[in-house]
Amino acid sequence: MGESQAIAVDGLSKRFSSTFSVRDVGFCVARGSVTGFLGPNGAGKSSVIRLILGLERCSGRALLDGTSYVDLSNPARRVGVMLDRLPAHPRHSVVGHLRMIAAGIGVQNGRIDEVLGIVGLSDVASRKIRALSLGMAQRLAIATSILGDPKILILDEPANGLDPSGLIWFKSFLRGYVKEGGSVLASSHNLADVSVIADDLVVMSKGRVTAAASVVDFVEKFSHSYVQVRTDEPDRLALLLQSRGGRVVTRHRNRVHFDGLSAYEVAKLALEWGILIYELQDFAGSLEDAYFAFAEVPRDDVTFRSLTLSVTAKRRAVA
Amino acid sequence: MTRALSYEWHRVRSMRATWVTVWCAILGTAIFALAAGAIAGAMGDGDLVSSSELASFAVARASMAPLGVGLMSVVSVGGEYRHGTLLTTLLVTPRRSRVAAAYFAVNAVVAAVVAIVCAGLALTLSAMVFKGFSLGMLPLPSILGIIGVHVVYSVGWSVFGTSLALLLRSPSRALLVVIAWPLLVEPIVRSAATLTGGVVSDVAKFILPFSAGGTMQEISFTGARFLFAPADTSLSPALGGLIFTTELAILMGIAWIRFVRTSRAG
Repeated sequence: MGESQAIAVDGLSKRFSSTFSVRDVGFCVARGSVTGFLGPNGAGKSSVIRLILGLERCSGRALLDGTSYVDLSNPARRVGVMLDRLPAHPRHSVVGHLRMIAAGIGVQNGRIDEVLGIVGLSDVASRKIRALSLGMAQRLAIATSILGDPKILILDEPANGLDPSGLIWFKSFLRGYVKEGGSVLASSHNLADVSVIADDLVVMSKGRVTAAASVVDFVEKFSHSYVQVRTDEPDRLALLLQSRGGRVVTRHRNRVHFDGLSAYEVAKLALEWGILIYELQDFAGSLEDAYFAFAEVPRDDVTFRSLTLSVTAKRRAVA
Repeated sequence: MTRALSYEWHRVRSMRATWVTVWCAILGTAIFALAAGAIAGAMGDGDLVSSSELASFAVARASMAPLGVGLMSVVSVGGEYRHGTLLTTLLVTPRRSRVAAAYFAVNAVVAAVVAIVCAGLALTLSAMVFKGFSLGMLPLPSILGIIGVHVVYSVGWSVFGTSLALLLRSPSRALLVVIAWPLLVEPIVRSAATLTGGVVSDVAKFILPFSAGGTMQEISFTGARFLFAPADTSLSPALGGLIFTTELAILMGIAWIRFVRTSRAG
């Protein structure tokens, strides 16, 4: 495991009865980066997180700061964890739940007020957990994960149940956390959020990792960029652009989508040929496009792994 | 290990069920102590019943500490499975052996404290009811001996409850067994064995842990027994204690190994 890797997972496999739920999973999370953990329901994301944390026995290994979770001394001070549901006693109060964990990890009670302030739950500190809304419970789970001031966060669907303002808060929280040197592995269904937050991503399908790459590389590789043009002479423009290497992707009335040429090239050629265009726009591919394009093809194993993962932290530091 | 104990102590203390079972045990003890004093007065001649036997009888028959701490242990550990909080516990203390040690240790300490409180209450109240008996008549070592044995018996119940919760992973099933086994199954088996007589009766004495544990508390320092069954029909307190602690230690070992080796977190 390199110094630049906060989490290194290698060959994790878990078999339930005769079938594998997780098979030969391997990836790493660069220090000082956010790695999005993607995949459809049942892909095995939550299982992998539980295996990384040693909550279930498996083959393979998962190292956090070079040590397995079970072997870490006072692990909650090194790795903050948020599981897909808040494992808390429903009759405990918010502050009571945090006090219990603080006692177990050797954190002063003053830190409890601090984390409640960070997640915006100070006003409901004495409320019973069963009376919390889903969004509040998520915030409490985040508070629990950062109680020990860890440098690594492993979050399973952290954005679930957060309202729009909660989402904005969460994104800014993660940015601040990573800026201070933290590393995050976060599973999510929300591709738009992942594309904003994550530097790298790991895609799982049917218990296997099918892609591990930087978000930029993944989008470049699998999404489709095109130029949208509106003109009075779509047929003529299409013919001419095709003769210069362009390709018509779609066409609807006077709107044409081309690829193979940049917006600048299209504008220059249209001017040259005297064709009036009254809309010209570059559409870069989104993570959502790339993800669905990637997921369309059935994959049984890693089919895309870029080598830029380990330099993400350096790139961020330079930026 | 200190952090695991600290976490478990906070967890047990923060549960309402802990306090409910403990207070029920204390309240039940008060009621039964008054009844036990009255029964002892009705059964025994005040001149013949020794003070030590009376004191043992009051503690053994009136204290609800064993049942109370047995139930508390089930609710405390079983609640981890019921509410899924075992995940939080394992994230704080990932080594399962330490978690198991903390469960048994904290429940045992609570059991010991509750047993001391209930034994003291039973002795005090029964002395108030049974005329001609006061605690001042008993030497301190005898009182300490009676309370000490009761503490061992109560800790045994707590080990029983904790082990069942770990083995069955369901508080409701574990509660059922904790109540039914010592209070229903064993008395029925013992009665059936006694009716059969002979070897079966002798074997039953040695196999049934709570029957053996019960005799552990039947201490009469003078040797005379008026309130307890005659010595020749039951095990000696020492042998009963040995059987009780050995069998519960085996159960605890099985539960411990199962919990440590299990692959799932609840």
